[in-house]
Amino acid sequence: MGIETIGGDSFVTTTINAVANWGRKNSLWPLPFGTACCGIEMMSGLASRFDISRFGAEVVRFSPRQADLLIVAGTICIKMAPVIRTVWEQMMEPKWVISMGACASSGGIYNTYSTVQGVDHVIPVDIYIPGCAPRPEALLDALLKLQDKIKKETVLDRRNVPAAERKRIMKKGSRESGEDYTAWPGKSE
Amino acid sequence: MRVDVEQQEGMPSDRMVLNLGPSHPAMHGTLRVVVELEGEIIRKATPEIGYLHRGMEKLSEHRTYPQILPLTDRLNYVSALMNNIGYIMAVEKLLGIEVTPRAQRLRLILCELSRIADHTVCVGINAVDIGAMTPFLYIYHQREIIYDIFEKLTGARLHYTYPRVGGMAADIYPGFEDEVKAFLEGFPKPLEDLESLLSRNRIWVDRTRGVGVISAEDALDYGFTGPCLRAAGVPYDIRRDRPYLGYEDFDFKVPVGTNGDIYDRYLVRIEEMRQSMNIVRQAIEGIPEGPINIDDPKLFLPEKKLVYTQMEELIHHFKIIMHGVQPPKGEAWFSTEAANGELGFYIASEGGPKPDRLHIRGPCFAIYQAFPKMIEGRFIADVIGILGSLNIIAGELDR
Amino acid sequence: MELATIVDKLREALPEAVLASREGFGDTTLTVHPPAIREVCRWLKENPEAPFNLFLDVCGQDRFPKEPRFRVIYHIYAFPANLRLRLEVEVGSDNIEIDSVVPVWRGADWFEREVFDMYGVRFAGHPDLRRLLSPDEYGDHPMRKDFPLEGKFRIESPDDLHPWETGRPGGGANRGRK
Repeated sequence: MGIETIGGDSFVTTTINAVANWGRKNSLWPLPFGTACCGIEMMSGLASRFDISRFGAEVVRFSPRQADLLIVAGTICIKMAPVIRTVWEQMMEPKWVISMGACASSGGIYNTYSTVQGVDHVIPVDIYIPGCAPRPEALLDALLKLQDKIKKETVLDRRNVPAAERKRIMKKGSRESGEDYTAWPGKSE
Repeated sequence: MRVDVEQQEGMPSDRMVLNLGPSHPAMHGTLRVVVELEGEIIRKATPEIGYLHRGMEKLSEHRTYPQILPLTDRLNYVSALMNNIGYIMAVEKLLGIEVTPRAQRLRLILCELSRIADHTVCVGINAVDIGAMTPFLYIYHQREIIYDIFEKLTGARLHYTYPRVGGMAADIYPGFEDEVKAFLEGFPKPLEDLESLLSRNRIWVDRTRGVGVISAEDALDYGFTGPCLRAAGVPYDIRRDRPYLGYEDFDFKVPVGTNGDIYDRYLVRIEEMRQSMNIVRQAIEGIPEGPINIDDPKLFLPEKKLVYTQMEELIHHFKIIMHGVQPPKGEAWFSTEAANGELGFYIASEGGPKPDRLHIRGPCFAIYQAFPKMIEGRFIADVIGILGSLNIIAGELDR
Repeated sequence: MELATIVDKLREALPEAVLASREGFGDTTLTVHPPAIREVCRWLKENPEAPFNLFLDVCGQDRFPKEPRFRVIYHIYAFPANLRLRLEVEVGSDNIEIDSVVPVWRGADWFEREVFDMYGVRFAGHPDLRRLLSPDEYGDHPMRKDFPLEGKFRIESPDDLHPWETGRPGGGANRGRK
């Protein structure tokens, strides 16, 4: 008793966007980049009570090549910044990033010499979760929000990502430090 | 750390350098080990830390004593209340104040519940790393129950910031005792389940017994404390040897291992959970009545309704908020038995509201430096099991 | 075994080494003559009555602008005698070098590396004195009092992930941004 018995020998019309986004949003494979306290709450989100698998994101992949959602959970320190950049660059398109917690989003309470003041200085972020540490429900909510966001994308959005991304970071750079990022190495259009 | 190219060229060609971490499924967040392999045997290992160095000690030189409290939450974030209590007691030692019996007893109960919560995670994750997912899901549910109690009590799930200099932020809620008792009723069964899944599991025993061995002399020499030291056969427990919070009034045993391998650490942790339950069971009966906070307007915030109505209390409130507490000139070391071992706080005060130097001795720091000694000569697959059994928490390792 | 007896015996055995001793907040602190620190530690570890076999901690302290500027503080513990002792050594900023105690307790290894990293105190005889928490090429010793809390460089764009190496001044341009 499924869709085939209702439709019989028939066909369905839809759009590429609808099918692709439906598939993408319901099978996000996260790479949990848990560096600090938020990693524990992310673990709670994966464990028995909160159970992230209800939203199709329980297939945790530690290889960036196999993941399409990077969850940055925890403080990013200056030693870690090149690492997270590499991990993000190794991920295949389409990819999304959730920045979980105050530290990942803005540096949090650590306004110190060794802390990067927000992971968005290093990689582009789609969803920010506030809180120190956010509850697992907040992570699940962010996942749902990301699913909404994916639903609204068109497949063409991802055709020329390096350029789009560069624009995003250029805009951010020029707003905050007034510096020119046009000579960004290794990213040609 | 950069791998030395010259050294690589000079090496025999059958050695391979492998980078474990900092992004690795079983490296517990932000640890990194550079290992030199001959086949699958590790010949040389160099741990590299600092990937979560957040400058906590520097930051605390710029914060008043009460403002440092939230930073201590984020040391060992698996059992944050123990760090809170350790730090607050160090400040109280410097100020020379004694908290009320009710606050002492409450702190003791919270410490022991935190210890249970910490050990459940350690044992569960260690099993996950070695390949057994089920024990983790069983035992993690119990941790959630402890979380629920703490959340009701403090308002937060992970970072509590609950104690204050001279007492606690709030008294216990009605029904706290019953909920703790209900947890104590319910916890032995999952603990038994966990044991029945692991203790005689052939795979678990083969992967853990005789792996990651450290002798008692080496453990002492490296500065091991806590379950890892006791598993090596040294019965050093600060709760018994230098009692604080009234541990001397309670009846508990200090479990000791013999071999100092992963299996012994696992057994010690399981038994410590039992002993902690035992302590909580004794302590929850007859929590002393009376006030929870000390009655000293120079140290503890007055009640809010008095602040709104009385001039003097308003001034005290203002003074504490603006200037914090001001310990005398001097230096104090206070250490507690945290879940991983001796958590020491060294405070050097020059007078004034901020410490001149606050040093945190995280137990993981000393333990992790012996990691190469444990893994050299072993298979690469053992690294993960050994690391899990040491329970390295990056927050207190790198601070 | 009382701690005071051990201290007396230490002073008898090494009369020049211990400059002062004081009590405070439940702990005894011995001020040790800097060149003698390893000798004192070895004596304490190897004394037969109460060997200080458990190494607890080493930390540094910067008292800028006072001189001698740095203090290195050791905490050691005797098991099973249940004694805890604090040693302190004062190091001036002109010659920041003292003997390492790693030959006595291997546990001092990373603690001394951390003090070197954070304060720039060099430990002679340390087997592997490298930076521990900061990146290898980091030029400063961040826990010194004259180093700003926010640091001199900030990572603010993905094309400059090692600002302390490139020395790009823009890294710290937004310092103080809230």
